Amino acid sequence: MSHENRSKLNEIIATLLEVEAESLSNDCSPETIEHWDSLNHLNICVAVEQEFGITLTTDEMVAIRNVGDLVALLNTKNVVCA
Amino acid sequence: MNTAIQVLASVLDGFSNPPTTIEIARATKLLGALDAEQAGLKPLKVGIVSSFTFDPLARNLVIRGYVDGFRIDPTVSPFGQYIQELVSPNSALANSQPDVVVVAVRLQDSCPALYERFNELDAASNDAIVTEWQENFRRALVAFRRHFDAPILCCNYEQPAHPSMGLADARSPVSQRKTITAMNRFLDDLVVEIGSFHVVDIDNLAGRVGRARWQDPKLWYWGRIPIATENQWAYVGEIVRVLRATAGKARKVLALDCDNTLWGGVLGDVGRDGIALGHDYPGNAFVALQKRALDLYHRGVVLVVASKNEHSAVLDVFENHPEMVLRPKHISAFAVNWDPKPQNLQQVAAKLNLNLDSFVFVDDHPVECAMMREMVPSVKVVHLPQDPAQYERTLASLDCFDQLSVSEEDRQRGEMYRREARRAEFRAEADGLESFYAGLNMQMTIAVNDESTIARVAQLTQRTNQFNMTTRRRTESEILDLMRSQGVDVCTARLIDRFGDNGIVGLAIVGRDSHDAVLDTFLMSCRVLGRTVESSFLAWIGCMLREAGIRTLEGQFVPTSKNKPFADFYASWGMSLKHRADDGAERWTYDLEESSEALTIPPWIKVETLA
Repeated sequence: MSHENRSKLNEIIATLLEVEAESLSNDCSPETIEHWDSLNHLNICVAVEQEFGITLTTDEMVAIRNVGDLVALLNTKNVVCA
Repeated sequence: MNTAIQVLASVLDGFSNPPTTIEIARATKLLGALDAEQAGLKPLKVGIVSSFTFDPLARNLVIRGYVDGFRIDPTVSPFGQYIQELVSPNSALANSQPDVVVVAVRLQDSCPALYERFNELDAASNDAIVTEWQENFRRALVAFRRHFDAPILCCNYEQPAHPSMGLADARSPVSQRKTITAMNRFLDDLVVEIGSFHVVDIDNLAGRVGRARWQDPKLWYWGRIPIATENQWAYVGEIVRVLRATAGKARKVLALDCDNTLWGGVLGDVGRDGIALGHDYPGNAFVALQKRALDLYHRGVVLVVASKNEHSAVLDVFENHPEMVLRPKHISAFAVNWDPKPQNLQQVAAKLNLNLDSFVFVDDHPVECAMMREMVPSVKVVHLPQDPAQYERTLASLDCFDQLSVSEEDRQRGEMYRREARRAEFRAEADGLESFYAGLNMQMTIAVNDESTIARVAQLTQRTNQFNMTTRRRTESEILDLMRSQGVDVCTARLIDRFGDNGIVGLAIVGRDSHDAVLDTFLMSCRVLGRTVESSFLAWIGCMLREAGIRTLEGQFVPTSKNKPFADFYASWGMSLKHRADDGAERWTYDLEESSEALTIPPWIKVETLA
């Protein structure tokens, strides 16, 4: 389950940021990925809400600094991503 | 079907409603690679000026465009600079040379006081804010119009979810709701003042989806995006809806099934008195559907009945059932028999001289719907939901019949097509063609540069697809310019016959210098074809030009997928082919000095020229 969620998350990020899903690690961030601008940050949050059926608060959205933060946040919402 | 169209269909069919962010992103990638021409898409450069972050909407707009056959190439101007963008001839907007401009400026951004501190305003300060914005905006539009004739689509202003004064807004001397209504009326009135200006009714949309969930505060505070993700698809849908109407893509015919569509139950099983139709459920749901169909009829939608039934039994219901709303006089054609419905609609289309891509087919039966989709994909199929209580709403929400304006001709259309069907019967009775023509008592009234016809003329250029030699679409302001230009004659032909007034059915735009004339546009409404009206109209034009000393008349033909059946018109009229370009465009010519046989108007058409 956690493995599936992780690949789903990678797929979402990869599609929106136009990168390869395999190349994504927890360290990936707006500093390391060219297309990760504020608009795409919002798109990632909205897509994560839609695809996992959860809600993020504005503060939670703003606090995400990299993929690892997003994974940790999803874990707190019972979406376990290893 | 070619691959480009298949890719397009497979991507669009798989969407959720509304599409998710990921679906939009995937579609953007897949469809961006499509060959627009192969997929039959119309390229359209859309310049957007807005007072907020429009980018997510622009992405939706591109995808929504594909649904209606547009390849939209958006240019979003830097947000907040809407006035400069419109006014400056060197703005990002101007430099993008847009085919269409979308103005998405919210009143919350341009006049924030009206929303944020309305209760502080007295009548004078409220007036001052309203007047200042109206003058600024009007000036910007006028300045833009000086350099560009691209149509402007202007989003109107939404009412607040919660009026500042609460319940008291209605009685307040300065009412917030009335102020915003007045602002929207100001936009409606600009339609007349600024040429090719169209309102996108965002206020109506916000009301429809619910003002309370129109915005997502998260998106607004963090991204300056004032429309919730779930509403963005509908928002751009309203824009595309206007684009489609501007491009003249409205559908014209509503074909309705009978059993369990127009009434409840199967007529063949339960008989006329057993069908559900009346004041109580389920009968009232069917009455409501019929009322909605009748309302469309009065807007110019042609009604057709397509049912597998005994013809006489269905006609008996239409004539004699006391609760029927639709009567035989509203129906242009009854295709009631046991033949497949696709075949029936093809015959109806031929009889009414209309293309199948102007048809909408409504049926409750999944198999009939699937068959129609499969056999005649150009027909729009509406599969009614299972619950009859949802029927009327389904029909009311269709926006495929949308036109920019409804003319008197439109309102009479149903009646005209019914007459057309009667003429067809009359034709079958008349023994020879000439006696048929003579029996029609046709009178053609021709007007030249008559400015009262502008709306109809523009509409004819936008909507006529078949007998249209060059298919050049024109806006009302372009027509006005042509009418006022030296050396251009905009000629209209109105036709009256023994069955009634057909309205303006023919249009010719003729450009000329001292010796030669060119038919820039020559078109005829398909309703009146096959009665020598088109050749007589051209004969009249030839005579007029000859009298003015013109020596040659050139006819242009630009082939499209729709006008091919009429490619030989110039030849049959008597012109000779002068040139055929690689793209198939042809130039035909007629020597007005040497020849005259084509210039005779047959005795069965009386021609009157308006001074």
